[in-house]
Amino acid sequence: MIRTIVTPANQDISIHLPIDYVGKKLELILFAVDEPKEEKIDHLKHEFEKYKEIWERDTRFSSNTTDMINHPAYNQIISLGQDVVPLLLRDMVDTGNHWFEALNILLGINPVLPEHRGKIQQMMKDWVQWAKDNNVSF
Amino acid sequence: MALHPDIIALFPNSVQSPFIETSPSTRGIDRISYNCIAWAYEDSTAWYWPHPNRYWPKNIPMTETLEAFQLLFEDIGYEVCTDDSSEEGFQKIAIFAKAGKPTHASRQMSDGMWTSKLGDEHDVSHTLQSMADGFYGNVAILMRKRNE
Repeated sequence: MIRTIVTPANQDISIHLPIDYVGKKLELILFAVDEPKEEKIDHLKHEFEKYKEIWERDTRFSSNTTDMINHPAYNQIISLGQDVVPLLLRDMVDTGNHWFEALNILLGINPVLPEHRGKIQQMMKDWVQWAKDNNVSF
Repeated sequence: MALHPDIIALFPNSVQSPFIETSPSTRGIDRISYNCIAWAYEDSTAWYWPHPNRYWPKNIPMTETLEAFQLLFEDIGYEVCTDDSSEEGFQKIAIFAKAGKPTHASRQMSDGMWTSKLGDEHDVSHTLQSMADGFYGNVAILMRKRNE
């Protein structure tokens, strides 16, 4: 395995092959490796938990949906991008937290049936069904 | 049951006037699916708020105004009143507001105390005084309806 970082000053890769390969047809596959996945997930979880804690602390006694979804910490969670979707789904199912609008914004869809709006259990079920239908594990 | 420190912090008058936690937070256990407005409305099946993704009756304007909240309760037989004392034959609700925006609703019980759900968390029994000047602001509208 060769691991290297391509820079504007270093765009070449040199490979020395043993003599046994002479005359053989070769296939080389190149792919980009992002930062280690686990490290990335840990960071995402940490950021999510950090902002979730702030959001819960500030909105736990509120009934006001608009205030809940306009809270800066809620928007910080949205700014984590689509990678946070499985964490939102997991937390929604575990705690009942209202991540519906964050999911709407991140995915550009709303699978909640009009007659289920405000029926929190039904809204959650609609999202869980959407995750199943789209092979999103959480 | 001693009050949770978070409640005291948000409702400073809770230490001077009755403010009793009747059930602890059930967050993450029962996944409470209704809020204080639903609790006052006596409907434990939905989260009421004038927002396109929550429950709000179609015949009530979807605006975060005291007028809309008043209409919500008028729709089930309440009328505006001025007296917060317990009246024989009537049930009362109080709509709280902060900076002119509705924040909360409480319902009076037969013993004259008021019952509230704090967000989707604790149930509390309280006086209007003990909830005043706190997280929800103050009572903006009092309403009553004849008991059925």
